[in-house]
Amino acid sequence: MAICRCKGTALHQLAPSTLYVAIAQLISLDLPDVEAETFEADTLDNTDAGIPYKGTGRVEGGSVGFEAFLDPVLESHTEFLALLTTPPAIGSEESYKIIFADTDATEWLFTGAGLSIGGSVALNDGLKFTGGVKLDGIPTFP
Amino acid sequence: MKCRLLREESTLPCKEYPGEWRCRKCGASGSSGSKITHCPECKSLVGQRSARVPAGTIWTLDVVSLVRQGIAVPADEECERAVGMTPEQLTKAQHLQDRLRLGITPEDFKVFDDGVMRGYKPNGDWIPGPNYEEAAWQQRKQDSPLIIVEDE
Repeated sequence: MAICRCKGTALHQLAPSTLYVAIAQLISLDLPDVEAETFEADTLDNTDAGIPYKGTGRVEGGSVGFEAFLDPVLESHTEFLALLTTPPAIGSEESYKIIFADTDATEWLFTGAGLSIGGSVALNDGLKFTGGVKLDGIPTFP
Repeated sequence: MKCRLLREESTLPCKEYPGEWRCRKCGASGSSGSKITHCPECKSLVGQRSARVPAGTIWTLDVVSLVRQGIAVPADEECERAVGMTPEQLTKAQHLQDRLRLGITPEDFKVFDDGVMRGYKPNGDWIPGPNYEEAAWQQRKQDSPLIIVEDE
């Protein structure tokens, strides 16, 4: 049992070189909200006050989000942005992994079905961009 | 066109570079050249690490990008010409890649670049770099209410 620090956590993207390459200058990372899908299984003859739920057997993978300082010409950023101009074909979706800063450098591997990009330009801050990766399926947990 | 990887890298598990897996339920482990989702012994879900590619491996895919990011160095003249970077630019790119690998946060970029620190300890403290003592001395001088006269 341990509390892991967040400094050193990295998001890697499988680059065209087929090697995982870290997305640089990350400030924060939102892990996916993975959720088992449920449905309300209440019936008219249920005498209990509680509303029963059952699982459908499906799991929503959620999305991974991040915020980073944007360098518009940095290779790892341009490669990520290029995925928006030329989205991967079905069957060749991008692979990603999150590497935690624990002593085992634990990895969560996942496949991204789609991307989202945003950003902010403010006088009192550095140039920032936010990104989101919609998961195809659920991550591979260790 | 070829380049040589400077550090251990990772890729999707394949025949040449299998990925290790471990079952937390029955303790079985192994490596596989394809994606493994279930333990062959007890059929429970398993996690598989990405495959390791050793440092020094000659790589032929997307070579220019790897060199420009400081991940690899040119391994032939064709690559050197295509990359078109000076030795100083290559060293700088490798330094920036080191900074990225070590997870240095933006507020510590300057101290890392100046050699004051070279990474983080497990508790988040700095691992002192070659210039740590000098920087600490300068800071002490700055913070001191006394005027410190140094020998010439």
